[in-house]
Amino acid sequence: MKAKKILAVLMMFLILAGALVGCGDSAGSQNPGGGSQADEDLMDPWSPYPETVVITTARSYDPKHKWGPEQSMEHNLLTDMIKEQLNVEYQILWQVESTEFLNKLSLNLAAGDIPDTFTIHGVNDYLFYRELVDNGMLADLSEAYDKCAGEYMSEVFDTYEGRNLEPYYEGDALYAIASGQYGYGHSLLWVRKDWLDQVGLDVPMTIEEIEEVLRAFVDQNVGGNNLGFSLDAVNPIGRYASGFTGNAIFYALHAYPNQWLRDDEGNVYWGTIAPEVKDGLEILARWYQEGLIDKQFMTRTNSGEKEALISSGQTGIWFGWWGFPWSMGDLYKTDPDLELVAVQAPLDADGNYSHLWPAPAAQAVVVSKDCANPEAVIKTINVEFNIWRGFDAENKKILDDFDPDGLYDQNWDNMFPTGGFNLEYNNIIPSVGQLAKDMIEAGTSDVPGHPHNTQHDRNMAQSAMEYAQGIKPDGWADYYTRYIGSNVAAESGTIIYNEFPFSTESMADLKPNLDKLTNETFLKIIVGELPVDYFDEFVEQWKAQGGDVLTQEVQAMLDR
Amino acid sequence: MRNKKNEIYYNAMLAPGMVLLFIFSIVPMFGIIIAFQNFKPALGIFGSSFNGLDNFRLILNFPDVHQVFFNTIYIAVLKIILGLIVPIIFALLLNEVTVGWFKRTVQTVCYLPNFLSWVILAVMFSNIFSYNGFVNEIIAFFGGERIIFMASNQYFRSIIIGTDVWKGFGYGAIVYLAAITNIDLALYESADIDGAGRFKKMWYITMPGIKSTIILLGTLALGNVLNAGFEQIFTMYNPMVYSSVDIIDTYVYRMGLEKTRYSMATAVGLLKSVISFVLIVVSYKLADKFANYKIF
Amino acid sequence: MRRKITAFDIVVVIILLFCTLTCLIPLLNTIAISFSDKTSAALGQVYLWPKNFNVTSYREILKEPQFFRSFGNSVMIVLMGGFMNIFFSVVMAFPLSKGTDVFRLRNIYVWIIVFTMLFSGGLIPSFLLIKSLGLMDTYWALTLPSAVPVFSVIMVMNFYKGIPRALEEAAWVDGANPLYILFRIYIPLAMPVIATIALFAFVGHWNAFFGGKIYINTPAKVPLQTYIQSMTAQIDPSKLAAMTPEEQLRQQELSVLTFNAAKVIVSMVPIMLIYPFLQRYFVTGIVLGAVKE
Repeated sequence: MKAKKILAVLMMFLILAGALVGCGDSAGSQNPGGGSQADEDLMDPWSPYPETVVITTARSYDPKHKWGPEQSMEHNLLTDMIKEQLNVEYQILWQVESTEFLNKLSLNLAAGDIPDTFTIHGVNDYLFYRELVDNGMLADLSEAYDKCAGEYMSEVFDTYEGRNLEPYYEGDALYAIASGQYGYGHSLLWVRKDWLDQVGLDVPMTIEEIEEVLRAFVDQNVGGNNLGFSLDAVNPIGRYASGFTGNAIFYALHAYPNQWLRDDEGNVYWGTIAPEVKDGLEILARWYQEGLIDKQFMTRTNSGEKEALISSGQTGIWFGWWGFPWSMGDLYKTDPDLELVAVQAPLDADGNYSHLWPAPAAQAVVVSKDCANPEAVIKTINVEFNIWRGFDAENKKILDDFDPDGLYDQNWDNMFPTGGFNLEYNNIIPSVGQLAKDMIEAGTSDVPGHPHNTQHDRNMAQSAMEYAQGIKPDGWADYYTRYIGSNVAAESGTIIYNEFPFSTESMADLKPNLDKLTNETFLKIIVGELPVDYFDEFVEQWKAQGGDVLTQEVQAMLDR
Repeated sequence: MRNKKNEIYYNAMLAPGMVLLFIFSIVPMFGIIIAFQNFKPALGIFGSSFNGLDNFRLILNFPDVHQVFFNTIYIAVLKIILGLIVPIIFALLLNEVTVGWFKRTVQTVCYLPNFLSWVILAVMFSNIFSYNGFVNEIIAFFGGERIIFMASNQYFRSIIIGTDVWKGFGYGAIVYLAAITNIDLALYESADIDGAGRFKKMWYITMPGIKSTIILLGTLALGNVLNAGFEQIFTMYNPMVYSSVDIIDTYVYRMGLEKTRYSMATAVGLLKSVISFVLIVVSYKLADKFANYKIF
Repeated sequence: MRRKITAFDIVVVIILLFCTLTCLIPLLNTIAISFSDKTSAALGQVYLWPKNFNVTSYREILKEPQFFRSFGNSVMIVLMGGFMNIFFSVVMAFPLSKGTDVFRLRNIYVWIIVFTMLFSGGLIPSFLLIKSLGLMDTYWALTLPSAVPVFSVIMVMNFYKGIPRALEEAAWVDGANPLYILFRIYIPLAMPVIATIALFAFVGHWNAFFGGKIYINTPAKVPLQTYIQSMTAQIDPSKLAAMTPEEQLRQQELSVLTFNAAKVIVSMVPIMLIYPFLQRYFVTGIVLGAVKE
């Protein structure tokens, strides 16, 4: 009797439990108007919808963003303009800080419930994207893209020659609109001019010259507490856009670590195990031993610590991208007259400069299969950039005038419903750099510029010009980034493309350990704990611990 | 004296809480099914196919999983052992203090860490253990070589264990202090007559006096072994030290979400619960046998 | 009679001083950092005393309305969750403290409760459940699942067990029912234990951050610790490397040591305020609940 009673209760529990756990409807999208996708009149870049289309989305947010009055991620000037022009509204289902975005998305995916649209990183999140595709959760955007992509989007994508969208095609179906990653973000060599003058040397262009400058700085203790050259603690040899790494030195020796490359027979190999890398390590190890590299570099893991070294005058030569001066605000404050020099250095034995190029895609916008109006997302992108780049001058003015005193952040990626998805010409950096140069040389902002230049670009170039003319001291950052940095980065050089920027199946499991092995070994070699010849043994270890497996997988993916 | 009417009251008092427990603790347990499926989000729980013990077989072959289980047990066991010893010593020492204000001050300060969250403590410790931080300054002062604690697999585990003990020792000592006050004073007096010194008294009287309390708390902690401290490790760790401090819960979190290996993550979680259950049963029996104490 | 100070005494004092210092130093260090300037802190030059004293970090907090919103959210959650915890502990412990001679099903209940303490479905099933119950983005999601604090229930239960049967029997004779006995007799006697579990409950809810991460969708509703954690979390370096330089720059701006330190200090304030008052009570409470005669 008692057993039966217990059994009955248990059964009841089971049924109730199953019902509760299993049932979870997809939120899907609510389209009160039920906008029909088949309506041909709407499949063009600009026409608004007769009835309001509501699209659900999820966003990663920046906790530090200072919103203006009555502005928020859900509701800001830009979303209002989009509503006005397209009659499309975005409903944000959830927001989380960017480091957790993928995790939260994954949880919702497990519940089978993804928003209508969201933006992920095309390369970092590629495996996640694949999971979405394999589960059939994404909408095919090929038709929407063909018919609704605006002129600007088409133009921008042309500059990438289709490389940005290629990885997202399955046959004829397109499952993500991926923005291209514009180049020129490689590390340049920056040096403090005042220190160069102090030691009486020219701007170094080769490895030997860099060494000479370093030695002079350190020996003469320029700056009072000269630490030499600072390397990144976690990853001293670097990747495409990492500052403070030794990667440029490797490039001058024709070594390209942390990249997949093809050899002359067309076989793919991982750049880090190439024999030339050993030469680079030898140089770095020697520099460290001779005190030309900051003895404590491997401990500087605090955020902003290496930049602080520059601000406090403890180092005067470093590698960084063209936009590096933006993180140098403190340096400028302490020494407003400071002059910096940037060059593409070091050159190789033949006097050439080679550098890396980023992965073809950056942010990718995907749309859920359940969304009734996927083309609305593409149209939204059209409107967003139409306004932001100033083609829609009237609305751009409204945005510019909103915050004349610069009290609030106007980060576009917080205002845009599509988040960080950015449309940018492949050659944006050189073209703005050229614009700034033209203005400075002409002494006026009235120069024709490049057809791609927008008002936004002109504003920045003008700011650089005004700094050069001495009338706008605050334009320091614009001057050094847009004029100095950009133009140096745009100078010609040999581009080394990454043969395979994505992930393979085993990469998620094997690569972190291989990277760790690499970083630890190289760190030890540089600081002298291991001899440079250990490199050969490292290569064997790398291959055995999964490197060969990955190489085979990448080869297979490329041959597909 | 059993009274049917009273029993109704008793059941009624338990009912609301039990309902909540059922909904929020028991119902999710049915989600364990995912561990036996080839879970595909598009198909959900009811649509995904079963693949029996495949996920478990996969786990056993995963090199990382072995390391993770090892870490979990190693860290948890050390935390338990030290988490017993340190508060006891602290209590014993504190008991020897007769100066009231000193005793109270020490107590007040040392109880405090227990009330701070790991979010806060993670920030504090990342500063203390940084290369130029406090600990390294002291090491350098004595002529030693600085250590990169936060990135070192050699030391980070000890930091996790140490900071956890640090957080709990003051508070944990309270029970022992109370147990000490329960010891018959006559014992101490006769020890005085026999000429026993302070240390001898501590060793031969105080320690045995709190033996049952120690056993009790120890066996209670045993059942908690596999909860090696998710919140602490989650807020303090970084990819450089995964191999030494990744525990089951953090591993499951990363595997399950970022890598969308839902089935595998659930399977690992299930293994954990099963082992915990076995351990609690063992500790209940142990407590019963050695301390004659039915924990519940 | 003044006892001579022995070597033993000195050793004891030194060790205890050491313990006290280790508990104080991280706190002082963080306070010092919060009052220092950004560069010195990043270079790790701040120890126990601020360098280039300034209150910029604290002023920045004032400019962040979300900090105060989160603070208020946590207060709400603590009150909601705390009272639920206290209620359930105090009420449920009563029948559980009876023996099986008086309450037949007692052992079954106890084992079920202990079972829930050990087994859990895991993150994903819990998430699915909360979602299907429609509790996402509410404070119920943060308080209901932990509404029955098993450890506190056991503590109170032990205490109740220690209350002399005679009291209860006298009440029975007078015709009292269990509710009356619980609320009029047991609870007033259990005040110290209740103060203890109340402290556990409040502190537990105040310090929790993970639930807020998983279940709260709107940034404005996020509890305080979750908010702080989102600001202090470090990004995976390998991810950082694959980002564009602009994105890296943005990440760097997010995590400033001095601001984080200030936030940490401010969020500790409530605990520091309540703690001295309750210290008296919880010592007694723990003793009563945990130590067996």
